[in-house]
Amino acid sequence: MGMKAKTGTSLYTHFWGPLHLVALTILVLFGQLTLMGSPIDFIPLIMGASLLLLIYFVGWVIRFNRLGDPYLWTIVAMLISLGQAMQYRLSPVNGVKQFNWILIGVLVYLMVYVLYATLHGRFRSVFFHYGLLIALFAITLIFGTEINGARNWLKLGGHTFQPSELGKIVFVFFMAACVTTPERLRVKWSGREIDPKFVMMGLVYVLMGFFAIQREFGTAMLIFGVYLTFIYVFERDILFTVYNLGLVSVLGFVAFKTVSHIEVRVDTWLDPWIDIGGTGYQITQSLFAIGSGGFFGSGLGMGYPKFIPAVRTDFIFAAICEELGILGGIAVIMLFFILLYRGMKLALRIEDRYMKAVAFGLTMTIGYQTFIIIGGVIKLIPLTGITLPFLSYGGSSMVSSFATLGLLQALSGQILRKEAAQLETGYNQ
Amino acid sequence: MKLDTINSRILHSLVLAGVLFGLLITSLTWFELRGKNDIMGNAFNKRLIAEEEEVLRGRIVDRKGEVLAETLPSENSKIRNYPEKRLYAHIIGYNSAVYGKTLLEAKYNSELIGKSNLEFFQQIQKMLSEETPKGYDLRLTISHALQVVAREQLGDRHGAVVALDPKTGEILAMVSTPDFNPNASKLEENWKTLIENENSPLLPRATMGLYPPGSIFKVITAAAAIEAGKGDYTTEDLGTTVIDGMTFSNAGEKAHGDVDLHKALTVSSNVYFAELSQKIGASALIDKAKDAGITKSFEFDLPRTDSRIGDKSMGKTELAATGIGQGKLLVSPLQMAMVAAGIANNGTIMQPYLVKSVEKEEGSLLRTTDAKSLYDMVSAETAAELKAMMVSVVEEGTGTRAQISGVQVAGKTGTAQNEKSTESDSKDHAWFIGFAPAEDPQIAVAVLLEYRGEGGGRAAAPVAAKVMSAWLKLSESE
Amino acid sequence: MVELISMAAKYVLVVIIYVFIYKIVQLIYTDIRMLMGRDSVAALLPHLKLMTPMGTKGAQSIAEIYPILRPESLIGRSKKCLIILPDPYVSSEHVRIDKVGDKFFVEDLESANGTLLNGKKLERRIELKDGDKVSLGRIDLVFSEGGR
Repeated sequence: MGMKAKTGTSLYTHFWGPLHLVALTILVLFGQLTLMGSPIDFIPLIMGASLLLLIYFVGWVIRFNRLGDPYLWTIVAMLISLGQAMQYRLSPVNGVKQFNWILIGVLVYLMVYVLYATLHGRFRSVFFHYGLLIALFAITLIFGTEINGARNWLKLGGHTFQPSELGKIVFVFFMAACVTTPERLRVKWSGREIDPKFVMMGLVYVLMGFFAIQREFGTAMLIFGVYLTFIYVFERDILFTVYNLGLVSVLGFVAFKTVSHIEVRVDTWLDPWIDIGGTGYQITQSLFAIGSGGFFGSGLGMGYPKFIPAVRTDFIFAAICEELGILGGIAVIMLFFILLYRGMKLALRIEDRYMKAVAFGLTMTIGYQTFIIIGGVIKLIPLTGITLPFLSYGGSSMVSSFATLGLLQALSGQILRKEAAQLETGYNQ
Repeated sequence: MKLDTINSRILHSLVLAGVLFGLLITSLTWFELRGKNDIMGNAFNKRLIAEEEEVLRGRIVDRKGEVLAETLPSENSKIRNYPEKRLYAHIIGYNSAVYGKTLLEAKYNSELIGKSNLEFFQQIQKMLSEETPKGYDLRLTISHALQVVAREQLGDRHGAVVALDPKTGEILAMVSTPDFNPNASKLEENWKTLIENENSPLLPRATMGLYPPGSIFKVITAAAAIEAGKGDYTTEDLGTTVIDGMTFSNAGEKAHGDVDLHKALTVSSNVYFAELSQKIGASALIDKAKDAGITKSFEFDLPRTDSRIGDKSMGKTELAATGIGQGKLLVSPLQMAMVAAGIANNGTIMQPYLVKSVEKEEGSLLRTTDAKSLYDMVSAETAAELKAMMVSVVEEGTGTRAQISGVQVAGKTGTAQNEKSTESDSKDHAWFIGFAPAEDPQIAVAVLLEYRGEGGGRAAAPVAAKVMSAWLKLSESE
Repeated sequence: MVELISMAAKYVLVVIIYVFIYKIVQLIYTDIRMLMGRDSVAALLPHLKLMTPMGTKGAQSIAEIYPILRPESLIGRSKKCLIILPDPYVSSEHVRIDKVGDKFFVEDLESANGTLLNGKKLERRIELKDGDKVSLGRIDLVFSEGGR
């Protein structure tokens, strides 16, 4: 490959190649969408062009200013291109809205980067974060509106958004604070001090309970996954992790037996064919869609994703499998995995424990979220209602995903600068 | 906690993520390769309907081109019309937006809506042309004229008739009664009654019905005996015999005197065969039944059930019962027609099939089915021996009502006791299997009349005769 | 017509996406090799490699690879130097490496015990080539252009 030795790392030298491939993808996808109109649909033309400009511009900003790992943006650029093409294909009206959300998301992405640089380290208080979470809950509970049986939406000036999308980021900070500064969790109960581990445990389980009560099982699962991995990595005693796993298994089993809603979900997962018109409708339609595309898909615009319920949100992955093929679906899974890998690598390199934990937690959040929703859509695990980052329709989801990305980018930028400085000042003292 | 430990645990988490994501990829791939096959035909898969909307579904015709199913325009949309109504309900099935697709309409759905992997460039051609795409037609092996005869012969009675060409395995006629009208409007009108009717009109008895065979099974017992070297067994048939404490008697306890295998089959002696079974042994008998296809599965154009027999550990009385076609034996009419065809075809059973070819409209073939042998039931010598015995059955034995003037017919009658049979009110099944002409068989049949209480020789044999002679006349003019 | 385009496009699309994934994985793979130890990052840049392991009494972590990035890099015993070598036979400012564009030059700074370049005494400023060995005191440093 022959890398030229230059000052600084060679991370950026082969950056443009993959980005060109993303551009090519945009051309093919939006070209198709443009030609599918009668005679020609101008909106995808403009959208595609804008997307091209956007990915190159942001790419250049990151490259030029050495804003950390450029592959985070490269991968996300590909994901949002695929996602946006699908969203427009599914509903041109909402596709435009989604595009706006992408623009806002990118803005948030860059803003978070800047904000983090100035604010980092200031907010490490455990209770600050927990308090924020409780506040979010209270607001949703009191002011929330119900959509589709779940009361997790807030209406603000004509737009609805999901506070839980913000909550999961705050949760990561909360966990990071818990595991790195456990002394702040010291609580006295009738004279005796409780081990901070158990205080943390209590707080987390209460939180999970809140989500479960609000019927957000997906988020509860997510929170638990993140929590469990956190304690595995940061608690010396592995047994603690094992106990938690055991505890949740028991709780889960009890919930399964007592809460009819959960039992229904598990039964539907095991055999959706019994009540194919009722409880099994969503997942079976999803499977029909996934099966009808073959490996290469039926082609953009050639399939019937309209038969899939909630296709723009929870089941976007099924639509991708139908029209872009199983290979398309596998590609999306791989892209997310590479994103995870970059995040983990970042977490490994950071020395400060708090920030290491944050990077790690944010990465695991994306990972679990992706696994939970894709797994549910292909009937690997029971279906829950959470979104697929960057691909699902919705402002809250997009903004939250980009915010997470922004934080990771900021941390990566910090680390990169630190390492470059180390190289330049020499090794001794 | 040491930084190194933390870092290595982070790596573990990465591995966990890798495993989880790998699981996603694997299950997606598995679904595509195997898991989806069983579910895609489900009626709730609206894509099937949507795809059909854009295509003119192919026709289904008999071997001579008579239309048995076609799609006709009706008001704003299209309707699937079965001009012969009930006659092919159990072969072609139905194509309903509400109740889904069954039988041939389901199995050949891809072809009927014109999807085909073989035709890449044709597909491109289709996409470039502007006219409504057409699906492919199915040409069946069925002879409509013969099917009509078979159905007529069954009349009001419940049961099945299966007629095969023993040399090729082509199914010439296949009728199951009771039947129903598969045209959409009638189907919807009658659905509830059809489902609740205790006679199960929706059940295709020819392929999926299982019945005790009774005496027609004796041809297999005889085959097992011959090939086990016990074909020379003789006994004095006094009307009844006792095997291990249980009495087995002939019909009406009729005594036949000294009988050998040939005579025993001709008169259908239970005594002889009960004793013979003891000489053969369960193992040999079961193996021969398996050679004939009992308990075995094979690829077929329609769903079918495997026939059943007891296991090798069976006791003497069950062995005797099995030897005369009772006991735990359960066979389908199709299975027994295959046995008759096997004997007719020098011991080799050919693979039965219904679809002769898949055709494009102009008559050019997409693909044809070739005759394939399926089981080597018996050797040619054994087959010849059996054939001679079966000729006797019709000439002078229990099957004289199957005679056709000018033609030598071979056959075997059967009267099977079943769960409904009682001393006073016989509900025995009436069976007949046979083929004609014996010296150069053109057709092999199996006839079953459910719960008739009449003997196979009395009730089923004449049906077989009519069907076989009709075919012989038809094929003269083919 | 549209159908035809869609049919062709779906194959093209899959190919592009997988080439993309392949490229990224390729880049990551080389990235991993870079990160098999902090020092390896430096190995891709022009650097001096320490050939003589130092027995250290004054506990300082001595790296083995010293990237040369600045226009002027001092090597000697003094703490002012970029590369500090606490060897008694090394002068406080023993040798200087100049970086001019892509070229590197080595010059002995009138050290007490002199400097050897590939075994021969270093008299004047000479350009360093890949693989050259610079010896000062009891220490050997090998120059590498990096980039491998």
